[in-house]
Amino acid sequence: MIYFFSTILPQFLDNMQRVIGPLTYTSLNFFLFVAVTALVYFLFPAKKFRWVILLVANIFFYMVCGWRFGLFILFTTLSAYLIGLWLEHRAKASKKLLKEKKAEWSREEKKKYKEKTKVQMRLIMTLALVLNFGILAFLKYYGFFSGSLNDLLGAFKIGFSLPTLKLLMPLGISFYTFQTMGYVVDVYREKTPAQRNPLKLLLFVSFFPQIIQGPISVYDQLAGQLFEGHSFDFTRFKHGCELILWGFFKKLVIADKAVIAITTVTSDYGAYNGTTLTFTVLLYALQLYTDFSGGIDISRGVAQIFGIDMIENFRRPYFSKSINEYWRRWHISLGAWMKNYVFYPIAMSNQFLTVSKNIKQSRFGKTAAGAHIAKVLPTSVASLIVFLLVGIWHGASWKYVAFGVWNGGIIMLSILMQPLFDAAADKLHVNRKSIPFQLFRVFRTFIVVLVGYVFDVAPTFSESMRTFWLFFTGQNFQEGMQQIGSLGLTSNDFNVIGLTTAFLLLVSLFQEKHEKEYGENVRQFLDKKPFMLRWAVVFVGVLAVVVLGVYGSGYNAADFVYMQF
Amino acid sequence: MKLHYNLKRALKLLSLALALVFCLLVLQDFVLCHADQNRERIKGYYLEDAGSLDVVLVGASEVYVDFASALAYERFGFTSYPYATQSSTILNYLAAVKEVVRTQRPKLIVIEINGALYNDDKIFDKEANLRNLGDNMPLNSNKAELIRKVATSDEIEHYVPIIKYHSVWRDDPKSQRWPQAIIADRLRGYTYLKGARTKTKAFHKEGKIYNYTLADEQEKLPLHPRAQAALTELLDYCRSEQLNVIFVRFPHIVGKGGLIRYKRSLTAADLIRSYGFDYIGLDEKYDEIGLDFDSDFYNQEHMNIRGQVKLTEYFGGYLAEHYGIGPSSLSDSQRAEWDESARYYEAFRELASAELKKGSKSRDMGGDLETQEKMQKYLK
Repeated sequence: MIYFFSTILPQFLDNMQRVIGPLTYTSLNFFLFVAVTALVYFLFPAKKFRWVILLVANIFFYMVCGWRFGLFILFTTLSAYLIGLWLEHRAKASKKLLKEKKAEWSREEKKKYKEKTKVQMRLIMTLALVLNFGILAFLKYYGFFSGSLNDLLGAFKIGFSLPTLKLLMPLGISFYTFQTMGYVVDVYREKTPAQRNPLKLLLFVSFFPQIIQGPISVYDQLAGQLFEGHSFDFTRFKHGCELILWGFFKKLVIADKAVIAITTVTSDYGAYNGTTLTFTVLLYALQLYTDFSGGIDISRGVAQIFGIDMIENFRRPYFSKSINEYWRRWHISLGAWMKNYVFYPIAMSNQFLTVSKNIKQSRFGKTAAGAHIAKVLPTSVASLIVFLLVGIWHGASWKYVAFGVWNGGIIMLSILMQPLFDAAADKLHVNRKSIPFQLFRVFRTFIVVLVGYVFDVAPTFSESMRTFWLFFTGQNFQEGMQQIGSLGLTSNDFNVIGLTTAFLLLVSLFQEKHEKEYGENVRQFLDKKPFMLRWAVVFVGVLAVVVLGVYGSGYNAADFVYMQF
Repeated sequence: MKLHYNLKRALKLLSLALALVFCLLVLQDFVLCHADQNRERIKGYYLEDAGSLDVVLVGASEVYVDFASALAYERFGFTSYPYATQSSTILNYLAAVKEVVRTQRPKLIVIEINGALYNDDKIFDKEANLRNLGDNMPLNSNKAELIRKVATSDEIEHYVPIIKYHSVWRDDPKSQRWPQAIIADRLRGYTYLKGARTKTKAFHKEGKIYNYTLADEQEKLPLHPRAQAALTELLDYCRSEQLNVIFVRFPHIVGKGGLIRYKRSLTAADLIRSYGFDYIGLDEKYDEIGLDFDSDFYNQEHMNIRGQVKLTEYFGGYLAEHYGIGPSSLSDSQRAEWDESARYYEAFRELASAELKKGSKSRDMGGDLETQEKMQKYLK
């Protein structure tokens, strides 16, 4: 038995990994896997148990992608399962006792008991959060923490340092930890009943289309769909495929081309002038959006084939008129998670409400500015904390802390200074509904977003500071053009990026307008068009991805040159 | 009613899928591919009628540079074709021979062994050396075996080459001139030059030429283990299939590096003969062939048009004399095609000779459209 688990099974799983190869979302293997899973799923006679097919597929997917980390996801599932049941049991027991003692206990006693139960439940929930976020924090942030601490101790010449560990991250740990802890909090809040079947919970935690890059789903929204046995639906299948194709277009044709230039710059960041860096940040904005949203489109498309609707994660974020709106359109599921599980608990906490109340009752609170600050302080400070966490979530580095502080700071300032902006606009007689002003707002927001991206692009925090400096002092158009020409992309590539980005912009503008006016997406719009037009769109889309996309091992004509012939 | 609706929808879906697949296959075959002289030659091989070739030559660049099938037909009347690609190594040979047996089963298979004489894993593992052949073979078990044994990159890219070559329009726009020649061959039904090729240059070797003393050379060097294994496997196959096959090494100007390869060829010759097959080493037969090392090569390993004509006449005669490869029995249409090829080769020969005489820049000449256009004025 020990031999089986220590030798035979690992060997078998290693071989399986080697034979099947990586199941990345853009690989042929992944789509073969999806096709087989879908076939088995829809042909499985007992609809009630089709979720088991999905679960088996998830386990297979996870085993192939990184079976050595399987214990982490099992631990998260098991801890969430047990703590979920425990929370539910505690809540039910408490209610039952209160019912039994309804007549016997005084109001005070009941209140006291309720509070005691709440504290107990909070402790139980905290246990799950500490355990799971602890694992995530340790694996993801230990290096950052130990490095920073050792630097600090070194600066004070203290002869102690934390050891350096090479830690590998289990596949999708950030996403499934957030998603699962959301479930635990929902059970704690009695918003959702605890899942009694651990295998069903494992299915929710490990659903393969979303485990690598999200979206971070809410249990209430996703779980029911996962457990329901779906029948094959041609329209859903078609929409799923169209979404996948759109995702491929964004990712393979735009993002994976643009990333070549970005990587060239970041690998020798100090060698480029302000013009090139400005261009790189702009290109990064395009690449990040098309890569991330393209990947999510593929995930959602795959889920849709199985009849499962995952939440939208991007809604044309660069059309936002404020940074607040941007964060409601960008990585929506992370924003929603943060809002539900961090922002509200902080903003609505007794401590914050007390501070707000105290300001309101003070002499300063009687002034217009004071009243405003008293009103918005909890929201603005909570926003700053949320974005600090969002920054840290993106990566273990000071530059991501700066990224979070920048976004949170801007939101905090915009909330706090809103009356000033309003007054200024009134004084300047700005028509805030006019199109030029709306366009100005979009442009202004985009610039703020770009400033945030500088922290992302630059290899370190100090390099990001240098980049800002170069924006103003290092502009040299001619030299910049030369540098841009040697970033690993040909003029054909730039033409492709330019044309496809223009197409993406047009489609996005159409979608924005059409969704507002008719409440439907482009695929639904296409459904109403004649057959030939619909299929022509698909046809051209496939050809565009095949011909213009970046995939495969790559072709280099020089490899075929035989010097002697 | 619902069944009818579903059927109609399924049919629409199927027709779209088929149209897409067809379109992608056309793109893969003619546009988004690595098209060069190797592709034109190998694709041209498959245009030959089954069983119509008397001799097929398997090997690397020496085969199609030093020997011209159309000239051999004109002189000796037998049909032949070089199933060869540049830098092809011995690892490719078994699949090539199996493919020749599957498609032609000729009277004689000639295997040029230069591909067995390398001693560098990098050459054996170079993806292009496999792809020049593998990409252009039709999908069958021989291709699958070749890919399984030799591929060092993702195997799926060998079966679906568009994955590798989809960016060719960007990375190598010049190669787009080849598909036109290949399409023209396909429409015509045969290739004019039967894969022959050369360069318009006369090479002069500085330093010692060892060909003059090769007959006295006794030292033998071992083959690279991978070459030894592949050659043994090939010989086992030829013996088990009772193929009429001979092994040969076409002439090179043997310098210092070439001498090492020559010494390996002696080991290969011993192994070949131990299986009862003939081995003909032509490096030392320069005199019999009438080769002039100052005027008949364009580099140490390949001949220009003068050398090509000399070797074809010598080796063609050798095959006729020693292996009874006589004039082919062809149908009228096949004969007309071969006659046309011979006519084109004559023009090719005149063009290449004229270019060589001019002493102009060394230029590739072969089955591409540019050469064909220039040949027009020499056609009789």
